[in-house]
Amino acid sequence: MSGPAVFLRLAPGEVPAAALRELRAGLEEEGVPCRVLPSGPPAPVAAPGAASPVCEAPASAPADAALLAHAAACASPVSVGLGLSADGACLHLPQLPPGAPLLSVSLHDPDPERLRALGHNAARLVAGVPLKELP
Amino acid sequence: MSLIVGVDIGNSTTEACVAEVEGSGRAYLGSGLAATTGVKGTVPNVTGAARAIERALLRAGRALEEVDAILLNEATPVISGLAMETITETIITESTMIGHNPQTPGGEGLGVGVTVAFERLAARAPGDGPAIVVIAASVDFEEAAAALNAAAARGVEVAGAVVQRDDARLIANRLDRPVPIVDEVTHVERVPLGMAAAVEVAGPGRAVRTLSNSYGLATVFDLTPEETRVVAPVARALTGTRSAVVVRTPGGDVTDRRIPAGTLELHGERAKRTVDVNGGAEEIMAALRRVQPLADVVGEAGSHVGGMLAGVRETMADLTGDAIGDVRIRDVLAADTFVPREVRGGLAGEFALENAVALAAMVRTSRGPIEQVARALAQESGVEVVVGGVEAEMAVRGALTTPGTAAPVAVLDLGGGSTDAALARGEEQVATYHAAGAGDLVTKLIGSELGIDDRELAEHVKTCPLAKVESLFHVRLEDGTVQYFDAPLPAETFARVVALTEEGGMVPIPTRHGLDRIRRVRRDAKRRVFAVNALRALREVAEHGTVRGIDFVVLIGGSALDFEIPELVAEALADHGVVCGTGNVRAVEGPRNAVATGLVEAWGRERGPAAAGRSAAPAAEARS
Repeated sequence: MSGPAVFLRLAPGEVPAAALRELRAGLEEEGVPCRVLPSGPPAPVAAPGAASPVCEAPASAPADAALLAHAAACASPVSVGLGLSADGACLHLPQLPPGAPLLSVSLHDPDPERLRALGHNAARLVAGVPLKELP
Repeated sequence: MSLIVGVDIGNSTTEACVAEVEGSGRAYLGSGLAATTGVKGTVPNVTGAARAIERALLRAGRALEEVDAILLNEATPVISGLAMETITETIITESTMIGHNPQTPGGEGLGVGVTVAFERLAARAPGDGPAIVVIAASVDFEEAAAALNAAAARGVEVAGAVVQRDDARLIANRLDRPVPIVDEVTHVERVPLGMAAAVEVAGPGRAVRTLSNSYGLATVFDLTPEETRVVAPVARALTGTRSAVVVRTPGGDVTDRRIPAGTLELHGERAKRTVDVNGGAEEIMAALRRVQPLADVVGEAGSHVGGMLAGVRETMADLTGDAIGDVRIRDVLAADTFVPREVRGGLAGEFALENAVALAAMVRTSRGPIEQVARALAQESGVEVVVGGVEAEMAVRGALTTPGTAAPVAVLDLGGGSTDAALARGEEQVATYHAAGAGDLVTKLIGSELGIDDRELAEHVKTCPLAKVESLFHVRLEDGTVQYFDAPLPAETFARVVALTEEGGMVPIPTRHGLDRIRRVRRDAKRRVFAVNALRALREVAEHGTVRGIDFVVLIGGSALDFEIPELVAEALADHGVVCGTGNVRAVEGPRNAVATGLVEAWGRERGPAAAGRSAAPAAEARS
């Protein structure tokens, strides 16, 4: 079993390492633990309140950052998830529709500041601190 | 049977009511409300009046052509002004302190050393003494941590760091030996280098203890008693923050000076007093009580208050065509307040709370161009317009239609610019008093004390209950209850205090203040204006100045619609054994429409406007 942490799911294939570093730095600065889940089929983790039907994890690992983030949020004990693919990064909550993440950052023109802020905001959702504006 | 429309032109709203009148019988058919156009009592009011009449008629299901007479209150121009005079100022010369609360400082404890630029760290030798490293935003956290570790490994003592980016914890987590680090220092380039400095970070939930203590600073910087006296304001400014940096520069100085705010000359009808605005609200109001009845107030030229009083005078003179010298300020209200001001010379946008005095002033004239308004309205509507009825008397008559009231009743009109009291004593005589300061002053106090520049936002804080957004799906209301939502709330409201608008909207309040503090500021502002003015105004109209002699007080006016002002006023009056409540004109209108109703009530009765009033008939061609 793991302690409370924001879960971060990666898309299969090559991981945008610089983006991952910024996301994790944002969480670390806020002092909230983060667990990076390997790509691959999601482990059947029972999240608190997992009875919610929207929390059914897709059968195979989705490539889309929003779906990854949603699956991560459903699995996370603190119900906050991040998803990272080659296209972008998303911040998600289990209560939201899988296709509509709370915040997202595109990686087509990567901006480290925005990714860092997304990491901050994932942590702040857990900490109950007003979110940073994405630059 | 005649169809009558009563119209009350107020400072901010114009109200109308439609009634069928037959003998002493009155059948009210509808009422309407519109924003007042132009300054109360001047010709531009006609637009707003016509709009209010139209709305009332629409609700009554009647046409303008059927109306026999429009009754207009004797509206006289009231000009009110507000000014704020800051009376203390904190100035940091040569940047000596950074006291701010970044969300996430790094490390813990106190570090004392000499400020060194990050780029110069590599050139520093062991034995050069402890260093406080100053790191700009261009330096990545891993690079910064590696360099600090390398320096420490060489034997260079690193005592702490000041960082521009939000990186303190990231750096501290990577240090072999963590040191206190303060981050989010916006103007890091302004930190003087090669100077003695101290960085302090307190543990979670704690506040700095050494740098917020004058003797702590004296110990750290080896200060003489004379120098300690100079840094005392620094210590005070850092109280309660979780992290702080103090840099000692040779000529550095934090001054905490009182700004000369000028004087007020209060001319009473019998006495005259000069009072220093620096003395605060209590002294000003005490001086005012001593010179009552007030004849005029003059402010010192060059001060904000002086400028505001002159401006009020000028506007009124323009309006009435009187000479400026003939316009008299009839009332002022002073309230102590404080203003968060960015500290001059600060490095991280620090704020210091400065003391200030807010002053509301009011002039009114007994004569206004109301006849012109009546003529223009008659022209516009094609209906005979009757001006008449002392406004206060009409307000009392209207308020008396509130169920459960009986004469003698005092009416408190809680408006935007002024708080007016009227007391019907006996048959003929109505005593009135107009106190400066009402809703607008409350908005100003709330705005300044919470550091909200946006007037509309301050207005929301004043008029709406608060809630704390605890998750994206629920908020906790002021009374502690929780409200849940199916759809997620906007991300920008998360963990913020929001004002709940009547339309169901949520306006985030962008301050770090908690809900309790915002609520306290809001209620205190209302109390300082309305509770104080209610007592002041009632004392002036009451016989022998004793509020106790008044049995019933009916609250009317726009601010009586507020969700807590009536309660705060009632609380203040409870000590005087007065029954106080919000009016409910004609048992349906609430605190609205009192004067308009009073006009209709009085019409055709012996003291009504038809007996004493002057009428403006529309020109013959307009009627055809």
